[in-house]
Parts: sequence; structure tokens; C-alpha cells
Amino acid sequence: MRHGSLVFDVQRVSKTFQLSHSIFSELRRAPAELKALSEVSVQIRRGEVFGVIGESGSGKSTLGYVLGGIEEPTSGSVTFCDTPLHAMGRQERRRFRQKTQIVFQDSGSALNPRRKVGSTLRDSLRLAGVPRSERAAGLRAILQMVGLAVDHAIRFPHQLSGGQRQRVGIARALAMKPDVLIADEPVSALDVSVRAQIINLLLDLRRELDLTIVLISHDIGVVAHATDRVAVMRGGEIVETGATAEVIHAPKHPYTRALISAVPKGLRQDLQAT
Amino acid sequence: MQQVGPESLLSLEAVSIGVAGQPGVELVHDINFRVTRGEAIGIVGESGSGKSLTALSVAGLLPAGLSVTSGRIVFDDRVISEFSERDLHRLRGKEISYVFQDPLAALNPTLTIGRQMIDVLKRHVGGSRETLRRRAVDGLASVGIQEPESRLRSYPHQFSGGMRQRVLIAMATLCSPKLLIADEPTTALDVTVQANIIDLFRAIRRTGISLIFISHNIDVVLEFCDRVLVLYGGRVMEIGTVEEIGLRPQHPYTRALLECVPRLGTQLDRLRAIEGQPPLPGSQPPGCPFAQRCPRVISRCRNERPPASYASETHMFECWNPADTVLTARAS
Repeated sequence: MRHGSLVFDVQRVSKTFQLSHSIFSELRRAPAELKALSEVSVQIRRGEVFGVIGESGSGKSTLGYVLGGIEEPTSGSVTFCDTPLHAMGRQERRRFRQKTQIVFQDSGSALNPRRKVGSTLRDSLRLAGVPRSERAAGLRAILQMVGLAVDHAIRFPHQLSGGQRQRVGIARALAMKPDVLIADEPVSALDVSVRAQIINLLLDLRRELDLTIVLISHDIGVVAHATDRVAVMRGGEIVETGATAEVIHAPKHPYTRALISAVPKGLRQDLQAT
Repeated sequence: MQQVGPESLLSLEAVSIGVAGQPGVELVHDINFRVTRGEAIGIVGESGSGKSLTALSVAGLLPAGLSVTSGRIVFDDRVISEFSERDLHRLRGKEISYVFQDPLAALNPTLTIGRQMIDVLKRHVGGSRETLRRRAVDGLASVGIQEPESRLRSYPHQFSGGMRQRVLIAMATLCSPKLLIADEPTTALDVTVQANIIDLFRAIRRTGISLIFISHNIDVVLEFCDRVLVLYGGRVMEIGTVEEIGLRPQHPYTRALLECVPRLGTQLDRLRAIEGQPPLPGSQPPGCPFAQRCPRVISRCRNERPPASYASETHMFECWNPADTVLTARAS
């Protein structure tokens, strides 16, 4: 795949969820469906960090799940490296699933609490087709890549800090040797001080492994720093998209402006000035 | 130690919090600070720094097994660290109120908001049912909830996250407390909702209520507090006015906290992280607890606890090798 070529071409994707139907919802005249995405088009290029910002309910996670193949779009098309998802056969689909990995917000609940970290990661290596004899070395390699020590492998998820658990979540994704990482709010459950560690790790991995990263977050500060391009979502639609620096410095849509002005700014101008 | 002035509402004097029955295991060590009437003080630090325990000790709400092992807490000229549970019960909700991070966990899901608000009033204020109901309606209206009359009949799950936090703040301010403690009240919220809640706290401050506001995001605290207390490893690292902490931090930990909040409008290759992990609660290194992660560490830091130093009358820090930072204020 060429650098700068399209990894994802999303054309007018809509996603509607049917809400549970009961006599009570009829009586309350509750809506029967929820439009999570409406006519969303976006292109993501090889090697870039693409940010998706928006608030709760804006559809940003649904967009991530559609890209990751977890949710099927109701209409519209998603093309992954020249092949539309809906036209993929079993083999292609499998390969796509392997090449596109998701890192979830709450790695605490995304990891099996009964299994040691090493056991979870070895499983991923097995699924990625790493032969048994190479798995021990593979395990050491991915732990090192995400900044964990070898003895973290013999711990259970609850014995790790939030930041360490998120590193395990990233390690599990990397075990599959992905081309694309979709990180859905990877740092919002973490302390501000640890957030920067995890974002820096993602950026390092992108350079080392030539990854494409889709970073979904409601934290504008994080997105502003870590991404090359960004889409701002609201109510299932993309209201503004462009180079991150331009969108942050010269937001065109009033909603983007409102989001930016709501960020607490502290007192200082810029720490680098000193 | 700080002297308790006449205008002081709350003072913590050399307060340590430890595990009952295990002398020597301290989670919070030798905390000194005070809150004057009408003042808003922010407490910042990472998870495990002791900020929630410090605040809980004020309300007498420490988890089972933990207690104030030394020092004393004085509130409104009464030593409340020696209060019985019964006395504390009378104090809480009336004179000292608490807003928790997770409003869904703090509200009873099976009772309407109105019922829960009226229960609080019944306990502390009393009066006819209609008077209490009116007061609950006013309470909801004061935090910006539309159609307060009908919302009284709603259950907690029928509110959005931001609205639930408003309900909780309404409940906490119902009996016009002297002190409101808010523990990470905006952490789970979207930025625009957070901005609205911060505005609400600004409005509450104007009514003269003193405020302790806990956050791991130092920029949130700098928005509207008067003074900031920086905790790490259960100890006070630095305390000062918002300007002193936000623009002239002395302690390297304070500076690191300021730096790791990403700034809009600056493009960096890497975000500034505080590398390493905070110390485990209860571990008590002989020196400064931040020494392990500190970029300015000198050998003394690991072995000897730094004494309190003063950059001004209001600005105290504990550091052997202070950064003496001066930051440029942003144009507002």
C-alpha cells in the first residue's frame, strides 16, 4: 500500500438502530429508531492519524464501529483499500478484521478478568497465525513495544493501573499485526498525566509500525495535538472536517467554535515560552 | 502551622489519615490548609494522591477502616474530627454538603428526584409539605433545570449526565450549606456540559458558600477557584493562589501537572507526560514522594523530606530544588 493512498473511503454512510419495541414505548410515543449516523462521508489515508471529535451521542463511536466492521451500515458504502466491505468474501473479511484493530475506552472491561495478561496476548498471537514456537518471543516483543515489563504478563488485569491496562489493550491490538488502529476514547478514563503517555505511545507506534490511526475522543486537546486531520461530529453528522491545525485555529462551523471555547484554558499563554 | 484567623471556616491542622489498627500506614500525611468564608479552594493531583480522602475526612465520610489518625479538623469553631457519628449526621447536608463524581450512584434510582430532595429538607429544615415542595422547585430552578415543577416527578435515569449533576448540586445546596465539597463533578461530562457546570459553581460562589473543588485537571480548577492545593502521594506539594500556582509554580510536580494538559494552539510532536506511576497509597518514602519521577531530583530529595518553603505569604511549597518558574499569562 502506498503512503497517502486511501485506507478507508466512506461514502454517505447512515446507520439506524432499531430501539426495543414494547407497548410502553408505543404508549409514550417513544421513537422506534435512532439515527446514529446520517450520510457520513470521510476518507482516511494511509499513515495518517485521523481524529474524530464530538460529544456523547454524536455518533463518533458508531463511525468507529462501522470502520472496524463491528456494525454494518444501514446505507452507503465503506471501502477498505479498494475493496468495498459488503463485497468481501469470508477470507477477505477475515483479513480485514485482522488488519483493522480496535482499542476500547475501558480496557478494564475489554480484558478477560480471569486470565493473565500473557495468556490473553498469546491468544491474539495464535489468532494472528504466529506459530507456537515463536509466541513466547512475540509476547516479549509486543510487551516491550507498549512499554510493559515481561513480568506484567503474569499479572491479572485488576493488578494493573489504568494506564497499564490500556497498554495491554494496545498490545492485544498490535498482536494481530494490524495496518489500522481504531482507538475509541483510549484515554478518557485515565488521569491527565497518564493520558499523554498513552497518546505518545500511539504516535510512536504509528511511526515504528507505519500504522494508520483513527483517534476517537471528546478531548479536543488530545485530538488537537495528536492528529493530522480531524472530523467534528454532531448528531450523527460531520459538521466540519479538515487539517487539524486549520480546524482548531480557524474553526468554520459554530459548533466547532463552541467546542473549542468550552475547553478550560488555564492562565498561562504557552509553557514553551519560558 | 497556619493560625486560624477569625474569618476561617475550615482548617485542617496536621491531619493524617491512616488504617485503623495499623499504626504507621498513612494514606494522607500531615495536611495543613484552611478555607476562609466564601473562598473556593481547588485540590488537584493524580489518582491516589489523597485528594478524595482529604475531602471525605472533612465530611466524616472516610471509608470503613480508615480514620483521621492525628491532627484535627476545625469547622466553624468546632473540632469536627472529634464529632460523634450523630453530630456529623446533623452537620452533613446542612452545613457541609458533598457532590460526588458519579451522580447516578449518588441518587436512589427507585425514588423521584422530588421525593429525594424533600427528604433532605425534612431532615434538616422541616415545615409543611407544600413549603418543602416549593423549596425543592426553587432548588431545581436555581441550577437551571427547565420546568422544575414537573421534573420533580422524574426519576434519576430520566435525566442526562449533565442534568443529573445539576440535580445533585441542587440537592447539595438546598439547605444553604456553609461549605460545599465537589469531588470531580465534571470529569465524566462533555466539555460543553462541563463549561455549564463550571458556570453553575461560579454562581454558587456568589451566594457566599465556601467551596472545595477536586479535580485531576488543573486547568479546570484555575478557571474559578481562589487558591489551589496540589497533593501527591498523600502530601501537600504546593499551595498558593490561582495566579501563583498557574503562573509561578515552584514545585516540579505542579509544573508537570500544568504541562500535561494539552494546550490548544500549540503544536508539539509529543505531549508532555509525567513518566512513571504515582506511588502506591500508603507507601511512605523517607524523602519527597515525587522524587522517583521528578526531572529536577537531587540526592537529598530521596532521603530527606523537604521543609515548607514560602515564595510569598500565601505561597507554600515543599521542595529541595524548586523550579522557580515564571510563565507568561495568556491574553484573555
